[in-house]
Order: sequence, then structure tokens, then C-alpha cells
Amino acid sequence: MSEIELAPTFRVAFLTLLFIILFNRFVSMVFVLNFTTQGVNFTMGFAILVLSAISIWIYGKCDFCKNHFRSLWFLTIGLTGIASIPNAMISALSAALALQIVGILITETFDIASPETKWGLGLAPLANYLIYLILGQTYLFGTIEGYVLLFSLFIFGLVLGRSVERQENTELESIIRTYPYMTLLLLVLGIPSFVVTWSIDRGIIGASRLSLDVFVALTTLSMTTGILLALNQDWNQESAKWFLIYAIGSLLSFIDILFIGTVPFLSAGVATFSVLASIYSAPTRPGQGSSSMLFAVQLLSLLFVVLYVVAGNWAFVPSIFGVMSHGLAGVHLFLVLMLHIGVNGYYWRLTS
Amino acid sequence: MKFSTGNLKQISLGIWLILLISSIPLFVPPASEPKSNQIIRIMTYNIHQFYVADYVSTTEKTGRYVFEELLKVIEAANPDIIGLQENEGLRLSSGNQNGVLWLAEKLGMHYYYGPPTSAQIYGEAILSKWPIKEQEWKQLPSPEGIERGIARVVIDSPFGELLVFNTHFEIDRFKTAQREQANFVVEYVGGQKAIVLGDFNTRADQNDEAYHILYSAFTYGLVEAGFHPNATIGFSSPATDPTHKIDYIWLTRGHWTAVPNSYKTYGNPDASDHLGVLIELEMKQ
Repeated sequence: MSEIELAPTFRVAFLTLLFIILFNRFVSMVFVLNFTTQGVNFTMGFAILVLSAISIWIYGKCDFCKNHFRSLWFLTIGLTGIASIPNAMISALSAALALQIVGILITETFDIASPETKWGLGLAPLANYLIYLILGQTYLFGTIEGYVLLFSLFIFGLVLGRSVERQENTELESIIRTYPYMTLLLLVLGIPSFVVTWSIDRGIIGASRLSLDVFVALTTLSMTTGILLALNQDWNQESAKWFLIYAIGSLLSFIDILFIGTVPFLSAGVATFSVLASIYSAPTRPGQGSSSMLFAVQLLSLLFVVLYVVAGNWAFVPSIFGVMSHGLAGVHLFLVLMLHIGVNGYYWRLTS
Repeated sequence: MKFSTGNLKQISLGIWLILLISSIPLFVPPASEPKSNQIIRIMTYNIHQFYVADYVSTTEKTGRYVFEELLKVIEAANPDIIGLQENEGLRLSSGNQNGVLWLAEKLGMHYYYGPPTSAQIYGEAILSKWPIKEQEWKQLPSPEGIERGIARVVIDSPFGELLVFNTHFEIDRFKTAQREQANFVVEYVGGQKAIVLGDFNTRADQNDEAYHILYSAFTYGLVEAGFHPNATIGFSSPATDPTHKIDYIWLTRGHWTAVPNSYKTYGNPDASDHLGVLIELEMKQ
């Protein structure tokens, strides 16, 4: 039975969770700044502030920054605290700045080849489900209990930060390959209630009779099972055949969740397993990640996120965005999955 | 500190068990409250996507969530049935939060979520102290503006089955859509005994066609409660200084008796940009 370090595992889980929390906060606060039927304003432009590829590139050239790596960890927690205050402008900007630093921290912490990173990536959504269950399907900024839980996370983060150290051999591959996964957690797979409310009333057998919270519980358990199955595999299957199986599994399960709704709570489990499995099982290719590739992956992820958000408010945004998003919310979510498969498939292709 | 993967499996299993145990209370259905009187309280409330309605400059917007404030308003009103509009919280822009589930659990009410999140509609949920026997939603005609919907439930109350509709019409500047949506609702309700709740975004003082369509087809709850249709009672928008009525409770004609003077508003600007509207109806067991 292999041994793994606990602290690095929790640090990966914590950073993944922080990415979800901050991105969620950022988008909702930018939405608030534009929440009017009169159209959008300049704050929509804040969206580009979440692209951390350029900051990561600058950090790579900055020895001073590298020498103060641990300070960046604590700065992120401080900025997340500021992002929680009730002022949408300050909150959005703080969340964006924190996301920039989270990008740097991920680059210096994630090692896709290590079991610690794999376990951390799997534990993060479990922690997110737990947050939702504790808070009755609201989130950290919604209620007093949410803020108490957020404060507890800060304490946990501070403890983890005390022993944080940079990796010796930093590779961009890890953040490139996990960025779409984290975006999928943010949009779909990290939120059991989302899967249910997205699919309910779309023809599933018994959906009209079973209570919503039964579905939430089933979805949560299905997703958790998917994660545990992925974590319990012995991942030494360096074969394109397996990547194709996981890709097809995730595609079919997402098609069911997003477009059909036959058994969405079961599909959520298959999707979570397949998405994680495609990361876990793929071989690594050191030296094959570039800043430009990271930028492209982040830009595409952001584009799909923006179009997905706009889809629900298409009549109140400039026409080009309205046309690109109207009725296509599910398609944009699906495109994030395609990006995930594309990015990890690229690394498979390099191997074969 | 080094752990074996076995330890982490145990930790994962522990989290799983916590998730499982945490899920159990969700399965417990809310208790149906026995009625000690012959009156039911019906409410409609636009809850502004769970955000405080801070119509101030961009730099002063708070974006504060109002779950607790909404709960207080609804608890104070103590409705037996409530129709919510703009309740779709499972959007990233609303922080991915299922406020309908949260409110229902806190209030001990049954609920119908209304249009699924995938419909990209702002939301029309219905909460009830009594079990919901049937539920469905339909998309309203939307020749302009965004997608709109209407939810329909049959509630198994101590007074027999209650048919309740809840909708949210297009905004003021899309009059054609409003007119078509009003016609659709009238046809959808048909001749059934029903209560029609919603934020109709349509006004008598503007002589809106959609308002007249509804007024002709149904009994305005305000009138049934003994007030003049143009009375200042029932002003629900904006919550900061309510000057007009856009949130209505309509009753199918000849089927209902309201408690005199029972048409009221509840709420405050810290909870929503609308006030909730409530009526008491006399029932026979």
C-alpha cells in the first residue's frame, strides 16, 4: 500500500475548493453589478481579470515572488476574506486578484503525476458537497452559517499554509490539464442540486412524484461514489483505449445530464468518475505545457462560462452575445467538457 | 505527515458517511399542519434571485444574499401556500444556491421547483404546507424578451384539492409578450376553480392590455377582499417606495370568498425589490 503525504493532498484539495469558491463569488458579484434590465456596463470587462496565465508567466520570471511564495498563500486567504464583504465591486475585484494568485499557487502545488494531487483533486468536490449539505444547498456567502463555515476554511487554509513549499520542478502541465476539470466542478459537478434542478421535469421516470431533496441526496451519493471509485483504482493504464472509454463515458453521461435527463443522478456519478479517471490515468509529459497553451485553455473556459451565464439573461446583453448564448446554456456547459477531453487527449496523443 | 492510501480511503469513506447522514433529514417530509380554522393564507412574492435589491450606483451595490431576510418575511406572513418568482438560484450568477429547497426546509413546507434550471427561466416555485399531488410547468409565449413560464400544482389540502398557478410575465416594455402571456394564462386556467399568483409586470394605471385581459377573466383578489381596484392597498413595487401594483392574486370567478380587508403586503427593501402580497380565503371543510 503506497504512502502519501497528507498536507500536500489537503493543499491540492484546498486550492481546488478555493478556485470554485472564488470563481463563484466573482461571477455572482459581476452579475450583481450588471443586474438590470437596462443592459450591461463596463464591469463586464472584469471577466478577463480571472485569466491567470499572464500572472503565472510573470511569476515565473520573478525571483522575488518565488522567494515569497508562502506569503502569496496567506495573501490569497486574506483576499478571499475581502471578497466576502458586502460590496460587489470590492468583492469582485478581490476575488479576481485572489484567483490570479490561486493560479500561481496551483502551478507551484499541483503535480499531476503525484498521488497527492490525484487524491486532492478527488477530495475537493467531496468537500464542496459537504458544504452544500451543511448549508442546506445554499453556499458560503448566503447565510450566517455559511460565513462561519467560510471562516473555518480560512483557519484550515492558514494551518495548511504554514508548511507550504514550492515544488522543485514546476510544470504548467498540471494546471493546464486540471483547469477544465475545476471549471466543470464550478459549473456542474461540484453542485449536486444543480444536476437535479437542471434535469427535473425533463421526462425522468418518477421525477414528478419524488421530492427534490430525494434527488439531491441520490445525486450527491452517486457523485461521491464516482469519486471514490476513481480514487480506489490503481492507475497504471497507459493506453489510449482507456482514455477513449473514459471520454465516451463522460460524453454520454453529460449528454444525459444536460440534454435528455433519463437518469441524471446516476449519470452524475458516471460523469464524475469518468472526468476524474481521464486525468488520473493519463501519462504525464514533462515540458509539454506552455504559457500560451495555458492562456488558450483559460480563455476558452472563460468564454464558455461567460456565454453560459449570459444564456439566462440574453435579452439584456449586446446582441452578439445574446445570439451566441440564447438557448445554448447546456451547449456551453458541454463545451467545457469537450475542452477537458481535448486537453487531456492532447497529452495522450503525445504519448502514443 | 505520511498517510497510506488506505488512510485516505478511510477519510473519503468518512466524508461519504457524513454526506449520507447529512442527507437523511432531507428525506423526512414536512408535517402537514392541521387547520384549526377555516381560513387559508395565500401569498405571492418576487424574491429577486435571493439578492438584496440595491438600486444604487455601481460602486455601492452590495450583492448581499437575503435568505434570512426572506425567511423572516415569509414567517411573518405565515402563508399556507406561496408562489415565488425569480427563485432560480442554481445559476452561477446567483452563486449556485438552491434557495427554494432551503426555504422549504426552514418553513417546513412542500414545494414544486417549477421550470427546471435548464429552461433558463427566472423561476416560478410553489410552496405549500400541504402535500402537492400534481405538478407541471409550461413555457409562456414569448414573442419578445426572454423565456417565461407558468407553474401549476394541485395541492391536497384539508379542504380538498386546491389548484394553484404561479407565473412571471415579461417586463413592462414588452407589451406584445405580456398580452400573449395573459391570453395564454386565461386559456390554460380555463373554467377550473383555481388561484392564480404571480408577478405580472402589468399595471392598471398604465391601462395595460394584459391587465385588462386578466381583470376580465378573473376576480382580482383585492376586490374580493372588499377594496376598490384602484385602492392604494396592494402596492408592491418598488419595495423602497411602493407606488404601483404588479404582483397580483387572481381568483377564478365565483369560486372563492375572501376574508374582508385581508389583502395585504409583507416585506421590506432588505428582502426584495418587491413586497409580497397576501390574501386570506374562507374555506369549507
